[in-house]
Amino acid sequence: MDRLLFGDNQFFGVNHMSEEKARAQAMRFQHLGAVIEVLDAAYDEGITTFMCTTHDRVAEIADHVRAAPDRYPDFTFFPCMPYAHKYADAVTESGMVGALRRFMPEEGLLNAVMRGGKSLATKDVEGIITLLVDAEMAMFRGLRTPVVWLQNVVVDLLLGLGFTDAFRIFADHVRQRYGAEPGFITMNLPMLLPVLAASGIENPLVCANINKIGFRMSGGIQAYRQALDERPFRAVAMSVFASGAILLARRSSGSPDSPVSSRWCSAPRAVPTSRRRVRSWRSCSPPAPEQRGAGRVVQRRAGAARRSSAAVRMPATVSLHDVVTGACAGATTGSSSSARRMSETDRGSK
Amino acid sequence: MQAEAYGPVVLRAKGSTWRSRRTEGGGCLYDYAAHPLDLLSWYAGAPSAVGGTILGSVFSEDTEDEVFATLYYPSGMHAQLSVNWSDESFRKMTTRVTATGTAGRIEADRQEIRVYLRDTAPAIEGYQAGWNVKYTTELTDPVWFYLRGEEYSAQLDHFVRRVGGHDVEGLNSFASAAVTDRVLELLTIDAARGPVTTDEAVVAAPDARRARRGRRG
Repeated sequence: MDRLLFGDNQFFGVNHMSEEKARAQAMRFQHLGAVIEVLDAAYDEGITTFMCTTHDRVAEIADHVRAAPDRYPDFTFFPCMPYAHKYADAVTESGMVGALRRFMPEEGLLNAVMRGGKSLATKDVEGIITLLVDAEMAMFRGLRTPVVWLQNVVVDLLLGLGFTDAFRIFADHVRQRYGAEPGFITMNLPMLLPVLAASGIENPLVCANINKIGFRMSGGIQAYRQALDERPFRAVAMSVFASGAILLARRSSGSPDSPVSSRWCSAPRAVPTSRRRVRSWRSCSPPAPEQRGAGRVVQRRAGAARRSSAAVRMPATVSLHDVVTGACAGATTGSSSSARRMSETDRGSK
Repeated sequence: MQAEAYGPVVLRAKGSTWRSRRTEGGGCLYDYAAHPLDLLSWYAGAPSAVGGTILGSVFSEDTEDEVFATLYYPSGMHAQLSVNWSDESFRKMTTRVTATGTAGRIEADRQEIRVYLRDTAPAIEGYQAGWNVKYTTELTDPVWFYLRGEEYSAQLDHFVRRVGGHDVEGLNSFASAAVTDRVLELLTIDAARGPVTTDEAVVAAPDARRARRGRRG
């Protein structure tokens, strides 16, 4: 797995901090060319893994990459599924059965219909889950997808409902049918890990928010630290800059080391921050105005992210989520990126 | 004040769904406009009157897809409502409340609050004259279990706890819900009345469109 993963939120008008920013990004990236330009810049810097939802427009990106194997020999997709909005919209329009019918895979349609029909009739959840995974994976046919992620909206819903068999069904299907590693995205990391272990999923790949203000780290920073220290799993950190809130607070205070005040972490200084760590945050300061072209930002971010990853105690992969935000929306917007940290147990094998 | 909500719910005329059937989904007024109206009721209480209500169709045959109205409050404050659930330019539902007064202006949506304070505004800790922008990362309390947003997670948690604790006193009550429900009823009545102040010359013209064109030219 690459050390640096490139995310897709900025391409589809998703921003966890600001709707205004999200709208600006949606305008900036409404044409495929603008998206490809940024992906190309990242690729040329060695960031070859694109962690993405199964948004309809990702299918266009997949087509683009598929059509140019010489340009993208190392391009790797990490699909995250399902893209929940797609299903919510479909259910709104067509109802539950109609929505399911709409997402049947083209391949083996008869088989899919049989499987889906039988699944619905018998409430056979395994059939429905595997069918939907196959439907989501169709757009990546012929492309490299070594890890397939289950989105947090589904992971956390299943976790909350206690329907944990679904995790194993997903993991088995992804391994058997796609030869890929299953990954789980969550906003409730400390609660999920024991459940995955109990489901027989060993040393799982788990992606969660990890940032110094505790933004969307349900259970609290300490529980996350403890999980990172004690539980055998391969961690991927996202929102390490809390959707830009950390950089924003720092910028407005004018000091790179000033504590970030937030409701998420009532005593920010109570979290021990090593000197090396502080240096890494400082190195991720926003680019100077003259450096704000998208490509250059990517370059700088990539460098900053690598330094950041070097400062944490474990080998790291960093994924860039909102990396071009600064380029499109000016100095008041922040950037967030994701750093993946592998657990000690995985260090040797990766 | 201004209260707005926009989003992509009903985006085509063909193949009507439960949402676009009044008897099943309730329409844009009950499904969408209820939320900004509830925020207005929370802030300003019950309006004394409503006017200029439009329950307009964009795609639906059976029910409204957009709601516009003016609300009058006993204090002399008034509010405008603008709601449209057939707007694809919003990725998901967006609700926004704006308050404008002598000391400045406040705009709030799901994720951020933008406050413009004039020099004459009273001092507020953490705010300065001019623009102040606060984000959800700063304003929202964390939840112990997160699913689809802090607001939904906190709401469910609060509800379950109150049921478990037989606690009937809370932030919201049937009484406060009834205030909003009454507003929805007033808007329905007002919309049925149609336009109140009309220009008889335009109304009498044989082709309204030609009359408009003539005015422009």
